[in-house]
Amino acid sequence: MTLERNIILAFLAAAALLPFLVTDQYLLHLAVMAMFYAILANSLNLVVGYVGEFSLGHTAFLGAGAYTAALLSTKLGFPMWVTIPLAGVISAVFGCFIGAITLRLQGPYFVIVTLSFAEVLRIVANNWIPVTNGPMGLAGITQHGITDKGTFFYIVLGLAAVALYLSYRFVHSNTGRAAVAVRENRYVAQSIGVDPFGTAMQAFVLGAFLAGLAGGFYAHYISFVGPEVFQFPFMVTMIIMVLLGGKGTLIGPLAGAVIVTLLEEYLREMQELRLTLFGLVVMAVVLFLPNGLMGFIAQRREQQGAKPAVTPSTREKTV
Amino acid sequence: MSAGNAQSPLLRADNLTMTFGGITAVKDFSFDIMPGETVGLIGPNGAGKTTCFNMLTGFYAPTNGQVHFKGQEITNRKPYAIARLGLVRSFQKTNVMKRLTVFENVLTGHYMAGRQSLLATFFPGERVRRAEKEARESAAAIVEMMGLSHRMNAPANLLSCGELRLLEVAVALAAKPSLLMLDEPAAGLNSHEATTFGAVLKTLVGRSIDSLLIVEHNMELVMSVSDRIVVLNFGRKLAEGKPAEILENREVAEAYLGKAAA
Repeated sequence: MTLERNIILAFLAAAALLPFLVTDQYLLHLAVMAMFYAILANSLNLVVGYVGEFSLGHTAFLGAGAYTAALLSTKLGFPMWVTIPLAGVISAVFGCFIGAITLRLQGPYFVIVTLSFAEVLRIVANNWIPVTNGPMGLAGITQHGITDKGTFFYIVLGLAAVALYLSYRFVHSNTGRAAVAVRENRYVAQSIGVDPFGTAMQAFVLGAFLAGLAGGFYAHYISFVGPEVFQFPFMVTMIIMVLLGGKGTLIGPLAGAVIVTLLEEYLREMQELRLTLFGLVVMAVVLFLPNGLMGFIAQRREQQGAKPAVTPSTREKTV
Repeated sequence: MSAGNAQSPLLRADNLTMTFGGITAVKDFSFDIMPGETVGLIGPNGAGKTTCFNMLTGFYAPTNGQVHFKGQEITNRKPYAIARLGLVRSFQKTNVMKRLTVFENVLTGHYMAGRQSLLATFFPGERVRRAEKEARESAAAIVEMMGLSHRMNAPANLLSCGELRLLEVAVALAAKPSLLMLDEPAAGLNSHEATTFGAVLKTLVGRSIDSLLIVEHNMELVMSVSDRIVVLNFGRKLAEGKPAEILENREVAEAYLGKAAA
């Protein structure tokens, strides 16, 4: 727990120094995207790792956030510091609605129904032309004259810090433990007074809120939002990041986001082979690191006899 | 202990009936548990003991009958709502959170003491911090009381069968119940482990919990811990009384062993 917090803080601190060391706009763009994906992967991890159900519809919240920011900005002229938080809030409202329906389902039913919600939203975005401008999308979302990627990097870093803070607090709280109890054993959870639906709802809506924040940022950073934000490629990328890093941990998706963003970029030179190689990497991860990188590291530490962290109160008792 | 006094019962079940399709698992079963009492619920396999457990704790909705706990009707309430009133159960098939450590399991069991709003989750104040600290101290104390200190940081899936049974009780105790209901807690224990386990159970009533209801096939254990025994057979109450009376009851012996050739 303390180790996890220190690693996250070190990661954020190192990231804050990055724009001083790197001025290349292309590399900074990669850093911005990695951080954007870190927020997304982290938000998906709250659902996959802490509700314990596999969502294929997380793009619903990314898209809802992106469209919210795009509409508020282009139609009403709201500035970025208003639209991004509101994007999170609107996404959370979508999360309440979708969660109220889907969280009553489990296993493959949950997967299919979440996917269908994202699809419905994509079709709405495609066809509600007076509002969403259909497949043409919404262009010209204000960037407030920011041209330096370094500035955008600090904005997304700030959002990532907020996302990680909220997730850290949630995961290590009484409620977070209840969510893990539901994931691990629904019956035990109920017998100790945990409402499985209510607890899952909290994790799900927090995930939706954070995905919405990421979507809001995306809208301003790219300055364009089209129906593709609801599409499968975003979903696939998020899933790979969470699986590669290790679900159910906070550092895992963070590491996954950085690695996959860079990998995707470097494999670009391979052109057609890129997606194939990417697929092979993913297969290797699933086969050889079923619990992701974090699971692998934890396993190695156990084998080397490193004792798991003892909490202060228990240490006093055992010594 | 408190049998026959004028106190109101902690738990009262009236005419509980449960049918699955055409099969009646439990029929018109009534019984109560007084504060401070340990009640043993016994009966041959398939007598309806676990069905009773599930009806009392809200996992099944009884076809007929009512359950009152602390004077409130709890029939048809959700399991977690019943748990929040102080009625906590264990399960027949060992149920713990296998991938968490012993300490984490017991800490998770403290959920009800630390329930908090979402806002308090994100911005924990003094109250939340104190609740968290108390939960950690209490978890360590419960692990120690159950004799699992040496396994504090071991993942539950590495525990032996006997240790798992103790952990299961520890998780239930962490929820600070007034009535603890254990469903075959000694199943799979050897006789030495069962004796130790019985000794632990005896210390609980009056200290950690008000009353205990125990379903158990290990007669030695159940007779030694219980103040009163209720016998179920084919879904009906066959007998009720002090352990010594039950041991001498001919009908009970017949239910378990069959009729002697006449």
